Amino acid sequence: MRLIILLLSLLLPAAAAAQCEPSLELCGDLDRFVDNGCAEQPETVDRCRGLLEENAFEQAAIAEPEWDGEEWLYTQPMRFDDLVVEFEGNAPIYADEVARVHAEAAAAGALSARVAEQRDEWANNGTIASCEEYVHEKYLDHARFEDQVAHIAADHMAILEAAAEQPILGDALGAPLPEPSPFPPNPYLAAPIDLIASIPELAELVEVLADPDRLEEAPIEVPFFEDVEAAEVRRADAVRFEGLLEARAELDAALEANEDDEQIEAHFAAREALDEVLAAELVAASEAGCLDLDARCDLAPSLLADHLLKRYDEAREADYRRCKKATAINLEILGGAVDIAVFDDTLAEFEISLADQIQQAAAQAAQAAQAAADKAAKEAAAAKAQAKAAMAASGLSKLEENFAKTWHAGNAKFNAHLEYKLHWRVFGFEQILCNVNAKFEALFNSYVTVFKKWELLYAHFYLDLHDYIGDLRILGNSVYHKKQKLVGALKWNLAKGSTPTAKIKKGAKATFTVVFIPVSVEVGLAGAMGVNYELKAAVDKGGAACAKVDAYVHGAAKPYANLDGFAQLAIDIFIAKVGIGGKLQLLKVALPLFAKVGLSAPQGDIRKLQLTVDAGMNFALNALKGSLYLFGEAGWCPACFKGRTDIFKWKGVGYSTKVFGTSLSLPLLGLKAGS
Amino acid sequence: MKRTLRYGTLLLPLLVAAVLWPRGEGAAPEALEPTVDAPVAQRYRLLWEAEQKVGTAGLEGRGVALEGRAHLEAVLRLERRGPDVLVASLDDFDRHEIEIQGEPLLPDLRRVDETFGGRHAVVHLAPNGLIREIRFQPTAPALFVHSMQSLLSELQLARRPGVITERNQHGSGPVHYTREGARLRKVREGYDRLLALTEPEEVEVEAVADVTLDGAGWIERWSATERIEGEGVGGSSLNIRSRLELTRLGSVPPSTVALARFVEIREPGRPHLSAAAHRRALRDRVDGLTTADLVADLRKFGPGGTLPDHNRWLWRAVGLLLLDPSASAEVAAAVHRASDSQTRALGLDLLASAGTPAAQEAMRVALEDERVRSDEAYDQLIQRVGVLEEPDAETLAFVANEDGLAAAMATGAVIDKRPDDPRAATANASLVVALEAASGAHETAALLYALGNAGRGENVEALAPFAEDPRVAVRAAAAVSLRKTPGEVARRVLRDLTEDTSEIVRTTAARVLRELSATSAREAEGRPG
Repeated sequence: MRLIILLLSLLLPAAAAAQCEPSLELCGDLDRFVDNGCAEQPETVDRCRGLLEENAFEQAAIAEPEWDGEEWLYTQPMRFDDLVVEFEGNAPIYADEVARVHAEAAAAGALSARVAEQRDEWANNGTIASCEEYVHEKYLDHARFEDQVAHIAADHMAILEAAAEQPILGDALGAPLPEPSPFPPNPYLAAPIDLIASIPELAELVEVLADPDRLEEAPIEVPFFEDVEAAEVRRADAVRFEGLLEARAELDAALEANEDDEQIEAHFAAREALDEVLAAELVAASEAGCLDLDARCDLAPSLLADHLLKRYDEAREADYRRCKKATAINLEILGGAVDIAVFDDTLAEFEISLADQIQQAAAQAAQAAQAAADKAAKEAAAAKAQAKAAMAASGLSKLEENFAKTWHAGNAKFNAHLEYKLHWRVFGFEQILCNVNAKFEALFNSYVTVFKKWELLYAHFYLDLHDYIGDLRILGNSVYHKKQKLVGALKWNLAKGSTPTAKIKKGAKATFTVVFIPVSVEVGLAGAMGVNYELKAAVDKGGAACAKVDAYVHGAAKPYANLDGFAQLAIDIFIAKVGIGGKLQLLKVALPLFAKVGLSAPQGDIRKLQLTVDAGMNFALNALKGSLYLFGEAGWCPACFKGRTDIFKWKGVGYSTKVFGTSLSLPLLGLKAGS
Repeated sequence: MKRTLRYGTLLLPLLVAAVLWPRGEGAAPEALEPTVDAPVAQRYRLLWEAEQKVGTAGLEGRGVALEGRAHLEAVLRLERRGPDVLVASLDDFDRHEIEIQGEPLLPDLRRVDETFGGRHAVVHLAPNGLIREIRFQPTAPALFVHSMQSLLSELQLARRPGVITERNQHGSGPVHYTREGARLRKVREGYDRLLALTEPEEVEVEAVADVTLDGAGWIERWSATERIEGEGVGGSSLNIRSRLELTRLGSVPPSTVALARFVEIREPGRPHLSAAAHRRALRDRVDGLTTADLVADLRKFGPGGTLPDHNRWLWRAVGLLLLDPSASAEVAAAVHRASDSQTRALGLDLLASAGTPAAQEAMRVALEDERVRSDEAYDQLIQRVGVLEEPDAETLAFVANEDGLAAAMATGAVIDKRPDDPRAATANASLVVALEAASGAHETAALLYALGNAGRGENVEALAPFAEDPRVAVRAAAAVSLRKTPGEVARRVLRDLTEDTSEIVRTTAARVLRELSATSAREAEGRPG
């Protein structure tokens, strides 16, 4: 038990603090961020901002852990810009003002003279002069109650008595106040249903809880507090029970997320222990009548007083913010179109004016947005035309560029093929590179055939930021390799002649007669071939400032074939030895590849966003270089013929060239629609 | 008569071919039929001169490869042993000159007698009058066999006028026969195929034979000349000149040669090399490398993966394994003794390149070795089995029983090369079962690749559903798996994949479709793949 208490004492404060602990998930979810009150903490806002900037791309990776080949864009709800707009300049919160006034009153024993004077002015000026006055008058009876008890905030019973004596009626014009916040729920009834069901004494309660209508219709009767201290003890018990429930929820979350068997076991044990405590608490609460739907036992004076004081906070705060927005507190959002003269109205008139103003401001904002969009579209069209012209000038026909080269050299054929693509999109009102995500994809394709159709080596690598597919074939067969590895080497040695079943059928073997004598000249090949590859695909955002973002493939992919041709001659005569020798360099190729594609925004100006391409392929080939010669010993030595004569003598074909190399910058604003 | 034509546009004239052929009485006026009651044996004075150069000059336009010359003057004896069987022999040589690369093959009469004395060739005719086959005794010397095969191929005479495809020692092509009374003329219009010029570009052929028949249908005189001059791809060339004259000397009594022992069969236009010739060529290729040298080289240089003059060493080493099957076991032992992956891979590469039954057995022994199995590169080692050109049944059984994705890929490759083996069908079915039970994109894709290696048409039904798999790697592998199955179903699946949402899959499918089209085109042309 003590252990559980200790655990809870550690967990509960941590859980409360964790509500605003900046995380990618929290910072990316503005609603939650505001609801948790984190937006009221400037330090938290700053930390969130930095976190979002630093992790823009990691967020994308989280959102898309495995690229499935679909066209995807960066769709993580990046609400950072909204956040900045909303709270820039420490946006005022009316609750802060109320809390400050009441704190002063509590210290002084009464409202300060300044506040009292202000209240009098508001009551007598016959108009609405500020958003503070607006919400004060709109919630006038509640505000008077707040003012009345401000100096006795610690005396809960006195607050209750004051509330009983001064029923809340309405606003400054006598109209009913908006719907107050609901009464805090009975914490005991919030216990997990499976836990309640495990307690035989609470079987009937399970049926009740299973019926939401019955639960909702249950009235709440405020008890008469004969024993305030006892009530507060029960209240403390209920609060403690709430804490236990939160701890249980934390354990459930940990169990869900944890994959470590030992930790899972520990969490299970802790939850079992916790459930024992909760069950005991529930039984005790039931015996005390705390689980009766119409007789809550946790309604202590402190709870009631707190609720009475805060029941309009939410509605009032919303009205206050609406007023602030509509009255050009933030001209950046509303385009500076608010007429301050609206504050001449009475409360009723002000409500109408405010609604009109909000509507008008929204229309103006929409107009401004449309104008901005039109302007952006116009700029985009111009930029696109500029990009197209630049591409045309560079030899590129479109953003998705395809480089392909094919070489034919004698009987050998080598093909290299490279494609790369870049997909990107900009989000948010403030277009910064942190909000840009790039998709990069490279296809490396090569094959080597000899004698026109004998496939020796076939290598394809597909590579993007999330996946790698390698299709390797040796002599026509797919070869297994550990797919996940982007670093590796495959080497095969080969010596093949043109046996009757070999795939070399043409140009490699000839049988004919010289006068009467059958002669067979057979050309085979021998050598090594394979693939060395060390590839990497990544995104480099260039630091937290995101001034430059590169998506690149780099390293090398080198299929190679170093093959020599050899000939052997068979001659069907018995008096002479005639052979054939030498070698023909069929093919020696290697193909390093590099490609790098990036985005940059000069001077951080997103309108100057540029695509930078730096890609190239250096190709080296030596083919068909060498000679074939005939050698012979004929006759009977020493009076014999010994000699050598060339049959094939090739100058060969040699390349060592840059197949392609391109480096260019293209303005891309016009292509931002995910082209 | 001279015709100069571009090869490939029109076939060219050439060659003289003639032989005395009995003419049947009562046959159609244009037909040449044997005469039943004619004398059964005739003797002819033969004059046969020939010169030939086969050259494959390189880019520099020089170099002559092989050269031969013949000048024979002798008596040719022809004897009829039925309507479609003749017995031929040569004797009474006045000139006996045959030279290859300047080396005389019949330097003296003793050698002539050893080669031709008392030897016969038996000719079997096809219904059209051309030679179907020529038979020899197994003990006949190679030079006798080659000489008679060439000579008799020249002396063919179709039984009806018109154009007929005729094969001789140079190649095959159409020959036009005409007749005016007792005179026959055969003109070779060209060669569809020249044995010594495999990729001809321009060829000139002049070949005419004039034949005179007697009243009984026997040839009285044969006079033929031929000239072939051609050039081929890469500067190769062919130059042939020949003259053949036959003059009848008279009839002779029939011989008593028993035909039952003539079992060595040759055909016109099909030069045949003896096993001994191939072994001599292999010895040249091996160039003195011994098994001990090979094993020592493996031990010394194997760990580095590359030997001095690596490619030539590979050529010689594999030649040795082809020449001496027992060397394969020594290589397997070297693979066993090796302590590194490179040596093992090199040894297995040698065995796989040789591919003989002994080499395959050695591969199995090596791959079953526990030390080899524990090699971290075993995945790559076992896949050497996949490059065997003619894997035997034992190799199939071995690799099909191995576990792992690498073995599956090798098994697929072996299955492809044993299309008629029921055990291959069983192994294929096992791969399909494994595919259907596969979990994870990597395993599924690997098994798709394995079945792609197998390339069996019956797999298409099992492979096609993977084209709709949500995983890119699997869909791409599914496309590759269909690369050897050019049926309509496979094409439809691939066409659908060319519209896949993934660029990788689209590209792969388009590539495989191109491969299939190329394969189909080759098959339609009857060309190998």
